[in-house]
Amino acid sequence: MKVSVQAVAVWGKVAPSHSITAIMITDDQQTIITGSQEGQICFWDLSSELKISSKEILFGHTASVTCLAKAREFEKQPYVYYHCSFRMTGEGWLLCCGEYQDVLIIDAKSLDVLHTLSSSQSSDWVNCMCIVHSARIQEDSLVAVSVTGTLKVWDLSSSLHSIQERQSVCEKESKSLDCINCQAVRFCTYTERLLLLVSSTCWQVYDYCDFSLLCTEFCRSGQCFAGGEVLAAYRLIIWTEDGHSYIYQLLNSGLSKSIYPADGKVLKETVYPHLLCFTDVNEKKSFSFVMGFMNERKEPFYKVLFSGEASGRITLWHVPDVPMSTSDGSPKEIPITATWSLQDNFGKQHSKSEGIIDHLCASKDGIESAVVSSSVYIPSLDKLVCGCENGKIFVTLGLNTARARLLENTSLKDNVPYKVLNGHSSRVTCLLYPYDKSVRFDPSWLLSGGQDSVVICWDIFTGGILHQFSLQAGPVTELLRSPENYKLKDHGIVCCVCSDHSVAILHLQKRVCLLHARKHQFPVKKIKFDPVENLLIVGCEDDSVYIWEIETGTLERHETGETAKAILSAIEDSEYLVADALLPLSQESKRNKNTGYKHSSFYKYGMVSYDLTHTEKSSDKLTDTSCTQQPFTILPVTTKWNSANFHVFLFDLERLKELLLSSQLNGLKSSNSFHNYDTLERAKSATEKRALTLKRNKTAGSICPVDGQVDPACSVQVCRDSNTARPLEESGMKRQKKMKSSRKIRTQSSGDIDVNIVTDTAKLLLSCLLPWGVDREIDNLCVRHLDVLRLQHPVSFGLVSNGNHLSLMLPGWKHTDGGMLEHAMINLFSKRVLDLSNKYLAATEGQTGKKDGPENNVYGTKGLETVFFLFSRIALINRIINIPSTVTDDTESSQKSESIYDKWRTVEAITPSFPSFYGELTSKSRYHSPDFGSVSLLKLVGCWSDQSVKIIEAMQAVLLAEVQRTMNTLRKTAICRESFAIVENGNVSALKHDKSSNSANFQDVEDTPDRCVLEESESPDDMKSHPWISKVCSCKVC
Amino acid sequence: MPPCHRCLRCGGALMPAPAPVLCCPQPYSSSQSPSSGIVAALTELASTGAGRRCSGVVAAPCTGRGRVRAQEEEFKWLLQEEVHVVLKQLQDILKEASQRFALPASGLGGAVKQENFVLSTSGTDQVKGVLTLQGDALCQADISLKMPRNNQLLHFAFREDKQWKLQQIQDARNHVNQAIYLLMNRDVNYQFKTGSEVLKLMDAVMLQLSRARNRLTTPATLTLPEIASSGLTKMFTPALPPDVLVNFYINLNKLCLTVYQLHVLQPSTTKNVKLAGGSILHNPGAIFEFGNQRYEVSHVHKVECVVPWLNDALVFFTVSLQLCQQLKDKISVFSSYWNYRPY
Repeated sequence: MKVSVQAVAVWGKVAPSHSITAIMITDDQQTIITGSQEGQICFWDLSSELKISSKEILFGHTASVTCLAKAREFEKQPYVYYHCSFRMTGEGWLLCCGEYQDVLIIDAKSLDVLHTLSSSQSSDWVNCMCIVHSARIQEDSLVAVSVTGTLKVWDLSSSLHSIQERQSVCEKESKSLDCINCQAVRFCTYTERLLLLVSSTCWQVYDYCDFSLLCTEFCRSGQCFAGGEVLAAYRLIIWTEDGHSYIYQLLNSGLSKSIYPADGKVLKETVYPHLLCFTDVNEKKSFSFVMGFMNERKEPFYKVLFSGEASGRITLWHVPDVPMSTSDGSPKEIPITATWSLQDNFGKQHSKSEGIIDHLCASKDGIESAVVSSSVYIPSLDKLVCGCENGKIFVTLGLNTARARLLENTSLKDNVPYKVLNGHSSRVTCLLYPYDKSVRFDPSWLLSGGQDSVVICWDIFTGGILHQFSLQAGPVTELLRSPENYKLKDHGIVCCVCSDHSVAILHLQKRVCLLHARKHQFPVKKIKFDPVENLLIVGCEDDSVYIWEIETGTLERHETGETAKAILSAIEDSEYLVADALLPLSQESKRNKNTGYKHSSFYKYGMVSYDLTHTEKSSDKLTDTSCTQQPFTILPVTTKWNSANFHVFLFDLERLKELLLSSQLNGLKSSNSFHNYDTLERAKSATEKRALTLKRNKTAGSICPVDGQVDPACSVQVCRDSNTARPLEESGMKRQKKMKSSRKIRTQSSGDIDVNIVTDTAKLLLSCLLPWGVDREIDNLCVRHLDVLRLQHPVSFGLVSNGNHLSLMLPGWKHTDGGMLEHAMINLFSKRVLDLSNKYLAATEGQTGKKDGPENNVYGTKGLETVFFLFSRIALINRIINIPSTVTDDTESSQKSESIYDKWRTVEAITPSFPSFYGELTSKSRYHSPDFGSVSLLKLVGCWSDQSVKIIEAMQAVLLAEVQRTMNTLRKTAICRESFAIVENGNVSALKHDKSSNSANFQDVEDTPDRCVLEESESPDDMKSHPWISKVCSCKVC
Repeated sequence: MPPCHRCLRCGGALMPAPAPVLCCPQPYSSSQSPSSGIVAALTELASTGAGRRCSGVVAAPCTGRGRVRAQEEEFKWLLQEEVHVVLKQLQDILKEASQRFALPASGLGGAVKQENFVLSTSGTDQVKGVLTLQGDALCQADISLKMPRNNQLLHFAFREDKQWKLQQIQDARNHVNQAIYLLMNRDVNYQFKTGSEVLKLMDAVMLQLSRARNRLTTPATLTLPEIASSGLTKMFTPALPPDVLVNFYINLNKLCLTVYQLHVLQPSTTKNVKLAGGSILHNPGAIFEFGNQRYEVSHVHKVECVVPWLNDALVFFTVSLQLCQQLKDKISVFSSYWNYRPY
């Protein structure tokens, strides 16, 4: 699993909906894990005081999660599989039942189906099962109940051999019970005799010896039992679908000594249930609940009854060890111990979890900020287009918005240039920038569809409306560009899907609607074009196919079933496009490290889109080469049931590093003044810095020069700061216009512009990663020397894995560690980070005597270079962790060192640019062979990944350690500087000239610093001397 | 119901004739007169059909307080009244469908009745057979096969003690029952408070229904070794000759039997042949390996018969899926409300 894309989530005010369908608590009672109907898995932290807070969310499943169980062998994540299973001891087998006959035995590691437990008669789906393990019986058996209510028993221990030999294993016993819709079956391990069976209408207790019915209790009307568990001997807990639970004591009525005497007639030994306690929920019964019970008898753990609701709320009850009824014999209610929902965390940080462009709207209309209903990110322009609930469309710069949203500096917020497009009367439901993927379209076209069934074609540069299509077919749900080589019309065909399942084909240049196909009964799943016959082929969700003739607009055929499948697959080779709202971005992100974000698309279409995005990859390749990789992208994610859309910033570490390298080379060569400015203005606001960088660009001549003049064409533009923001915007525009004329050079130009953007992006990522708030001094030094801005508040990090899965931290994550300075803003991912960073320091300190010097120089000379260095460190860590650790399995020490060597070789193989990065960055003399502590570093980090340290934790730890090390030296500098304040203020230049020669002796002769020294001596007004020089100074004086 | 649109250009020559069952409900045979409720449901569906999808409401911009209130009222009515009407319809239809599957545990007590089907083929009469279907199990099968080589007539039947479970039917039945169970959980007394609640329920029901339908419409694709190793070969008396394979499956409303005749290939001649993968129906010439021997399919015979109640069930599935989708559409019209105003 290679992870190379870092994600930062910007959550909105509303939590994504999470209809819990499965819930479990880990054995250590520290984490609750829920699966939802939407397909995400959510991690919740459970403190020792039974407080809940949300921690992390995983995107990946395309269908609803039906069952959860923990598998210790795989990482630390729950492994989820179909329906229901139990772990068999020792063998690493899973027993599964579900929508298939009988029970499957699955290998827990490979997930291959090993064998089945078959039944000789009346085989059917198995509803529920449990393993009976008892010392008395001396035989592990599997008790299962089928959908038709047949109870079956398989011997497990004695049939192990025949399972291995692949001989068929049939049930030992089979008995038809009068029990339909069985929900749970449990064996009482305390008495080793009773078997509890919970069906939706009643629960029953059987004698395990002969399966004779001992007692039956029916549920109240309007309720359905959902499950149950044995609490203790003769004590049961049963819960219902609407979130109630009941604790019963089974009283033996056969022995008349019990406090509730039997009727006298009973001669057979039976039992009576007596209700002891019950639990209730606050709300009226409405949602369906999923409940579970965890029975722990050991001290630090609790007996916990837990439930998850369809609304996404988790409730816990702490069940007392000895449940008692009230003194008068009536049942006692057990109070709720804790309850939490995703929204609670979002609400708690109301001011902090605002939407991505809230600061724009808020400043404008004061109170009510517009909710973003759809958005699209245009990587080539770095523009983020957000459509809002109120019909407005905001166009802003992506990176600026991200910075303004995440970083502390308030001036950033006011300086984000943006435009507002007014045209829709109600919610903007979808957006499309067609030029992104296909150069057939005019680069100025931006399409938006609204709730009002209107599609507007905008000029994204001027903000004017080019054309307005009124479809009168309900809200527009999708806008899709036509396939690449659709020959019929050479330009500007766009497909539009409306909520009444109709499909409209819009010709953007002629500004006409070519066809409006309105007959589909089910939601549109696939749209394809037959270029030869000029047909539009629409596949619907019920697997039927409609074929439309585009010219005449008539429905030519309607097919279902196999024929429909045949048609769809026959046309597969020709051009087609897929109905998928988030396609543009998923394509973009695919290009970015080839990761497709099916999670985003699945929101919309459930299971279906899984296939879609996969088949769709082939068409991607056509366009893949047209654009360079962007290190930074914004991925809008829409949620299924509510409007809690949020954005994910994606940082491509590898790409970013490459770009940094190239920009750094440029930077070193081209601009002398820049660095001086940079060091001078370190702590100044970013606006000024921006101006600087602009100036620098001017000198470097990498971008077309920007004059301060304002282009009057852009009238809609609302800029608060005309000096800084607008020129930027315009430079973008001009560049764009240039691009229009010469599209082929596009890649080149985008390569050039990246210089500022890349550094800004890198700094943004660094400030997201830095452990703010741990050490105030370090924070200040970071801000001062690295020119990295503080975060507004802790960010929700995430990871994108190659399997197209995304995990994101939820706003509540920072409460998980609790305790530490609750009031202060801490961006520490976990307490472990501190330990890790210490370990890292210890591990690297030893053999870095050689390394220390140069590193300090790297830090000292320029904040920017430090940024680069830190960044490459992170990238290295990222790489090391991501190398599949197959070799580290070896246990013998001799092999181990070898394997680590191997691994290092692979690292080198994978990272050919890495050493060279150093080399070029720090010039030859400072380049150290890659073994500077790298083997031990590798060992350490490899060890971390074995201990399942999160990648993010590792990165932060390393970052913290490196920063600490740097700052230690810087601190020395600072002290020194303080004491020599007068000297510094006064004639620094003289002193420096003095020292420059010394330094050359003191250190190895180094190109870059030397040059810097020269520069500095030329520019005596540089107040902040290089730390290493100061170090020399301190040495000299002290 | 929408009319069927056949391709005029090719006249259906290119594609096999579409099975009418999925888009046009056929008149019921007299033996299985559906209950009046179903007729009502089906006729209402046919008459209202797509017309009840009101898109005009949304297309118009929502201005004016009165209008908004009227829409809120309408949505309330939809959640409180209309949803339950539709759910009741759905339940009725699905119960009817479930009865077709003759679930033994449905309380009727007695054994499921047995139905005999005569297998027929349009062309030659190489294979003949009579199958007895009892619910989801084939309890008897009499197959006579005319060997093409020597015109010898082979005859086999199921052993008395054996039954062959048609997994497709069982799965479809179970899926329908799951859907019914989902619907029953939300009886008339249940009050829907949000639109998304309805949508979630509909999604769950539709998932079960489409799975049920897909089980019947898409038979399993088996490889020849899988067929050869299945228990089916051991069920016959007299035992099947080693060069004959049989397979039963359901395709749409038809119960199908395929008989493969094989011949053994010499190991020397078959060094570099591509082995056949999985398929519903293998073609003559397919080569496979089984028990260290390579076989080639020499003849394939496919015979089938229509099972009327499967046809009914498929119609019911299709109709209920449409009902579900229409309910979803109705709810979606008010999407701008159910987001913000959970009642």
